[in-house]
Amino acid sequence: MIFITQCDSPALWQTYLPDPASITMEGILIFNKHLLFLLTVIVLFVGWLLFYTIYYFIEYNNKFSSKFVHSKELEIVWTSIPALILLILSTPSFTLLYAMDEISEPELTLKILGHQWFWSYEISEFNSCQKQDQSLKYVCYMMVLDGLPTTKQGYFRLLETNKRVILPTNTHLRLLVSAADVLHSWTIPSFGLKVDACPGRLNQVNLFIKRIGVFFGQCSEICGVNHGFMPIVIVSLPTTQFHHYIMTKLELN
Amino acid sequence: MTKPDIEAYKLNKIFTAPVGDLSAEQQELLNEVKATRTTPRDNRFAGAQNQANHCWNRYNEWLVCLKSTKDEEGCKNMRNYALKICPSIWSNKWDEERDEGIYPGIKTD
Repeated sequence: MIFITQCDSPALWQTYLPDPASITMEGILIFNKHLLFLLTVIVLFVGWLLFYTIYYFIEYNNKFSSKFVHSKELEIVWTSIPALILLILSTPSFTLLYAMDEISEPELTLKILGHQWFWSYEISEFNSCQKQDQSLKYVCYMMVLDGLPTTKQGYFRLLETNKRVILPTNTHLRLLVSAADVLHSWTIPSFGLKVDACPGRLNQVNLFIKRIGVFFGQCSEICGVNHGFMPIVIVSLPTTQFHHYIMTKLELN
Repeated sequence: MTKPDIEAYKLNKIFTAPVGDLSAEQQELLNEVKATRTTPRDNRFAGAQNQANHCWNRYNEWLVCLKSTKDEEGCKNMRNYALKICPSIWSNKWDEERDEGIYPGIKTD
């Protein structure tokens, strides 16, 4: 499978999953690849059997009907082999499922709130630093690309925002997703994450970003007229650079 | 036309470039930033995906602390734990309700 993705956003003629950036997504991708191979083998086998049965035993090709009516042994074989295949498939599937529920002690909490029709983010860990009282807040509106000068080309259509959320790599993160008005859904395909944002509910997911990059996502729950125009952009920086970024932000405030 | 300086755009080089020297107070701030940790997991809400009760619980635990010790500075830790996991629209709303006297949780008067 050849897949070409740029910047972990949807690519032209993309036919497969995006490049993984978290452990969950790597697991999903690997499992999906192995499963796809097995499924292709099964589909080809069943397709060949069907073709064989129809072509070689059609009345035109085969004048004599068989006296073969039933066979206990054959029925046992064609029931137990699929059952065995399913059991073999379930092992990596359950491993992945339970690995996604692993308990980890988070180091940073990112609070995500869905509004009509933008996302707002908060990081409150650094409130106590140097007598700060304000959380680090970002309000991210979609950037409208019509009317940009020709020197500022190269942006992704319907995916760019005015501010990008900065997160550290190789850190256990806790994402708490909620909504301020109606249902939304926060997703980044490269992380294998999709969390519903329900008002009154604070949905928690764990995230561990394995590499630096710029990752895009879009709102995934119908929330009104501009549901298709509230994108999500995350930039992941190495931990050292993240600390320096936070320090600069605190100094500026 | 001169060739663009490709080396300056290589992300690896940008991200591993050595950072300049920091002043003493900058270093102190950096150490503080590195040492901050978020609210730890609460075993009463560990398995749940919905952490709204955890947030509510932390906020009320801070109020219990205020009510019993009446010491704002001493209870600052508990308030920080609550603010780190509660969205500010929730904690601000509860602060206002407490000021108005219509807060549905622990009363500190």
